[in-house]
Parts: sequence; C-alpha cells; structure tokens
Amino acid sequence: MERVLPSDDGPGAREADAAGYADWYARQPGFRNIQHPLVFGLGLLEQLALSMHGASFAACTPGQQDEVLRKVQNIPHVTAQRFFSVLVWLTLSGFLCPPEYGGNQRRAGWDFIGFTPHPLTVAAPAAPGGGRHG
Amino acid sequence: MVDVLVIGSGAGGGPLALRLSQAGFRVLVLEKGPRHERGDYYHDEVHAAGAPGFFVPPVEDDPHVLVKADEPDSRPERTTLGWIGSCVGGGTARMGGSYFRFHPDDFAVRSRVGAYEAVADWPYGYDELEKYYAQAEWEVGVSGSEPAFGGPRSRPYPMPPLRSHPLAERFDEACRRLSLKPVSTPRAINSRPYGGRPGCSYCDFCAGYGCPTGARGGTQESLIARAEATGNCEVRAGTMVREVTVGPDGRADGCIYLDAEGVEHRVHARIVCVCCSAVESARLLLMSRSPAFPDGLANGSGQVGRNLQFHVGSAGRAWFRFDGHPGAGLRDRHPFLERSVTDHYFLPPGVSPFGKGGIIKYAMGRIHPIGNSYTAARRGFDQVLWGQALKDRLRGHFLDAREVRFEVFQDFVPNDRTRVELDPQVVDRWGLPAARMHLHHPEHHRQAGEWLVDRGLEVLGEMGADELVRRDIGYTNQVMTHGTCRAGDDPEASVLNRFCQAHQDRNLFVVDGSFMPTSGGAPSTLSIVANSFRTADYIVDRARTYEVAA
Repeated sequence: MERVLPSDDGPGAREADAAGYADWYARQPGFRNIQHPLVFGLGLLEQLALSMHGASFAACTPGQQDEVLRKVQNIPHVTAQRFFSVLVWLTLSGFLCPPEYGGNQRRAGWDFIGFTPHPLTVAAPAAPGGGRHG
Repeated sequence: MVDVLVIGSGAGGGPLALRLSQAGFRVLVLEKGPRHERGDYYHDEVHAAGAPGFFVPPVEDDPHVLVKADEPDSRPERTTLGWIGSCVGGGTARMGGSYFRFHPDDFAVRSRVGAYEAVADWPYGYDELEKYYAQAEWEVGVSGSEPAFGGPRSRPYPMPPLRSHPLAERFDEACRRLSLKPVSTPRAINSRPYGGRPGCSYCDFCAGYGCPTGARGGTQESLIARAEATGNCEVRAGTMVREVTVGPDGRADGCIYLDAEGVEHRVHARIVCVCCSAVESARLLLMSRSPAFPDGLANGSGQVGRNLQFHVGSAGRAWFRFDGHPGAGLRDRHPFLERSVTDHYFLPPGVSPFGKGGIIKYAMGRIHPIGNSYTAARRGFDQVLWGQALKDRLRGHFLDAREVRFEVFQDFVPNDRTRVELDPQVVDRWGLPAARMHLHHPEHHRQAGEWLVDRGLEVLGEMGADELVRRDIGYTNQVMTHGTCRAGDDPEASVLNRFCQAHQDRNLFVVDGSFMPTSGGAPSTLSIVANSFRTADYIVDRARTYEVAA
C-alpha cells in the first residue's frame, strides 16, 4: 500500500494507516468478493520478488517493489488486473475513509485532498469507532 | 378488514396512503423493506458501499435474475437490477429527486413521434394529469422556477430553486451563445423550510443516500408521515406479500403476507393497490394464481410483465482548472449547479429512426473522497494509476480543478424482448419464485445517447472546460422502472384501464410506474406520484358511487 500511495512531501498510505482500514475490511462480509484476486495477487508479488530480486517482497527496496508491481500490472491476466484494481481501491479507501474505520488517521487523507466534512457527515455505527466525527 | 390495502410505500404507494386516509378510508400499507428514520442515514462512503440490504436487498436473499437478450449465449445471472429502494419510502428514500413533468407529447409518443418497437400512446393526456402534477409538487414540496420544462402549468412551484454554484452564471452564458434555453432543475428538496421540514443543508451526500434532515421530500417524509397522522393509516414494515387473494366472486379481497419471522398473515381489504415498482408488481400478480386467473391475477390478456422499461442514461464529464478560470468561483464547494438543458427533448431527423431525445442534467462533481479518488485513478487511462503518478493525479483532481458532470435522461423504448416473468428455478429467501428479467436495448438508445452526449459536451466546451470526457452511452438507468402492467383502453392489449384499475378486476389497482406505456424522456418519479394522486381521486370518487367495492 505504501507503494500504491507513497509518502512524499504530503502524507501517503503509511501516514494515514491505510492498512488499518484493510485489517477492518478483511473481517467484513464484502471481503469475500475481493479475497480471491487479493490472495492470488499477493502470491504473485511474493513469487516475482523472489525470482527478480531474490528476496521476499517485504524485504525488497522501494525501487525493487515498484519494479515487481509494474511487472504484475502488465501481466495480461484477468485476475492480475483485478488484483491491481482491488489494491488501488483498498488503498484509496484506507487513505480517505471516515477515520472510525481505522484508516485516514489524523485525517491525513482528507487533509491531503482538501476535504472538509460537512457537519452532517457521520460514520455508521458499524464502523469500529462509529459516531459523529463532523 | 381494511378499506384499502396498499402494497409498497414508494412513489406509487405514498400518495394513495395520504389521500385515502385523509378521505376517511382505513388504509393499511405493507412495505417489504425496513423502516429507516433520519438518524439512520450515514454520510459514510464505506457504509454506503458495504451495507447490503439497507436500500437494496442482497442478491443472496432477494435475487432478481437477468437474461441479456442481446447476448445469445448469456446465462441467467443474479442481479440487483430492478430493485430501486426496498424500505419505507421505496426509491424516494434515496432519490436525486429531479422532479420534472413529462412533455405533453410523452402521452402520445406513437401518434406524435412515430411507431417504433412497442411504443404506444397513453390512454390519457397531459391535460388530465396537469392538476395532479400541481398537487404532487405542492404536497411533496418541489423547488423550481419558470420557465419550466413541460406543458402549461396551473400553479407555480411552491418553492424557489435551490441555490446554485457560481459557475451557473457561466453555464447560462454559454447556453445563450449556443442558442439554448437552460432551465433550473426542479428538485423534490426544500430550498427553504416547507411542510414542517427544514430547508436543505447542502451536504453533498444526496442521490444514493438517505436524507438525515428530512429536507428531501421522499414519500416517507412528505406523505406517509402525514397519512399516519390522520389516524386512518397504518404502515407495517418488513412484510413480504406473497399473494393477492381473491374472493368467491373472483375479485381481489386482500393478501397473504409473511412477517420478518416468516409467519403468514391474512389481510382482508375492499380494494387492493399493488405499488411495488414495475418488476415486483408484475411478479406479485404473476404469483397470485387462482382458478379464474391461472396465469396470474388480472393477466387474462397475457400482458402482465411485458413491456418492461427502465430508463436510459448517458453521461459526460469536464474539468475546469482553478488557475484557468479566474473569477468563476470554482473553489466554492457548493454542491449544486441545478441546471438542465431540455432543448433536445426531440431529435432532429437523421439521428435515429425514433425521434425521442431527452433531458441533459448538469451537476457539480460530488466531493466524495473515496469515489472521486478512484475515478481519478482510472480517468482516461487503460490501466489504473498507482505510485507517484496516482499521488500527483489526486493533487490535480482535488486541489487544482473542479469537475462538472452531466447525465442524460432518455426514454427506455418498450420492446417485445424486454419483460418480466417468474424464474423457473431461482427463489428468494421465502422460497418464492424470483422475477426473471429479459433485457434488450433497441439501437435507438445508443444512437440517441451518442448525439445527446455530444450536445452535452458542447456546452461544457463553450464554457471553456480544460478536459472533456465521454462516459457511458445508452446504459440502463436502473433507478426507474416502468411498463409491466400497461394501461390502455383495449383490454386485449393492456392490463389496466386509464385509472390504473385492472380491466379484469375492479377491486385491483396497480399504482407505480407499471402502468406507463412509455417511460418519458424526463425522470419519471414526479409522473408516478402525480398519477397516484389521480388514482386516489378516482378511488374516492368511485367508492362514493359504489363502482368499486368500498
């Protein structure tokens, strides 16, 4: 996720803790719709990291990780393509969700895009920290 | 025993519940979905995307089945298509609320525009509905202004238009240069306090979301609450009607419904009004079999389920860079533009064999962080963006430019290959046969859509947009459904008479979009509401003279 939305002079997936949202999402019923491409894609990343750089994906340098991701995106395989869409969608959701869901911490994502929630904006009680955040 | 049983509480059921309870009838409204209140509506993109059953039931529980008639090898698939809103208020609980009237020619398309596919004239004209359009606009609360689209008007709108974004001024200038006459989009949203409900707070989470303040005039807020206040109307949510029952005389006399626990209940009523929206209303009639009607209630003509129509949509978008348009007020976050172009309601010769165009409704791009950012990641590329390129794109999308988009509303052409029947295999959670829809798009949808999107983009280009994008052309707009119980004067070729009363059963009315022979080029919700007020008047009137059973 940090490679999908890297940190530069503005916050990225890391500062917003987009992964915190993914942890929550993985426990939701909707997750089963994306589980297959996600598992398939993450396996592919690991395999390619090992064959291209001789290291696990997590142990690769950011530059090497980007190389692996580029390779995966260019595989003309429907599940690989779907994995990429899911990965970007999950990262953006974690960057910009209501903070109650575990991502967008300290509203880093909202601040980055200049979004100010309307006073009526409320996260559903289903969110782990659900309630009013406006 | 109740006087009138109303099955469904949306745009069709709401007006009946109000008028008939005001007239002193005892009314029971059965609504399949849950009852939400203002406090249940969250402006939460994650919840909106992931709360199955909140507005539309999950396909595992309440499936519809879709057969794409244009793809010969297509296998029937489960779909949510055909559900609009399954809750008290129906689809109006989550509507955008563009409350246009139809054009007078919409009531006689075959005579005035021409024969095409299964297009037919309505059994009544604009003049007969005008009074009820005005009633509907005042009962629901519509914000709008003259000049308005449609035919002659007996009353002005009850409220002035909603406030527009400063960009509307440039929009109007561009239209003038193109010799177009834009109208202010009429909306079923309070522009000031009205009907005991507050004015809009311009929150930008409107269509697709519930209104947490009650400013939007969904039927639950504007009609059902007042029906209940008469003391004559009871609403039971979470009740699935499995059959409209008939008495010894072969006429509708009530229903059997299942409550949330699946327990069967019997209701007796003098008049039964089916208002479940076009797909589900047809399904309920087809499920209601009796010796007199082995193929479904009031279906002696075999017409129930035929001529299913959705609406047709096409779309385009444009971006205006902040640095390129000084003085345009682009940085203003006001969510509404409130402008529509209605000049292309009829097509010039040569565009399509069928001369119906539509309404182009413009809007400011909504600022929904997740939805917009994912759009930005995909915009104009074959592959989704990621990494530094995505980061830069987000900056450009949110911090450097403002989006204006438009949606084209077009007729869905009724045709022989688009219809509803009972699925031979798939059942819902109660074991009842699901509605199976066959969907075919006549070529006109795309031909008209292409041309209308070009017209839509011309205005944005004239305004000086920095980037123009054509979106989907001629897609199925699933939030409006029509046609499955066609109204007409010929009992062989239609299900309902001109008052939405079944030709074959004077105790039975179908009051939603099902009666419409054609779906109109404008969004149809106001026409459904107005027609329902008209039907209510008819029921009150006839009940007095004993021509219906009450």
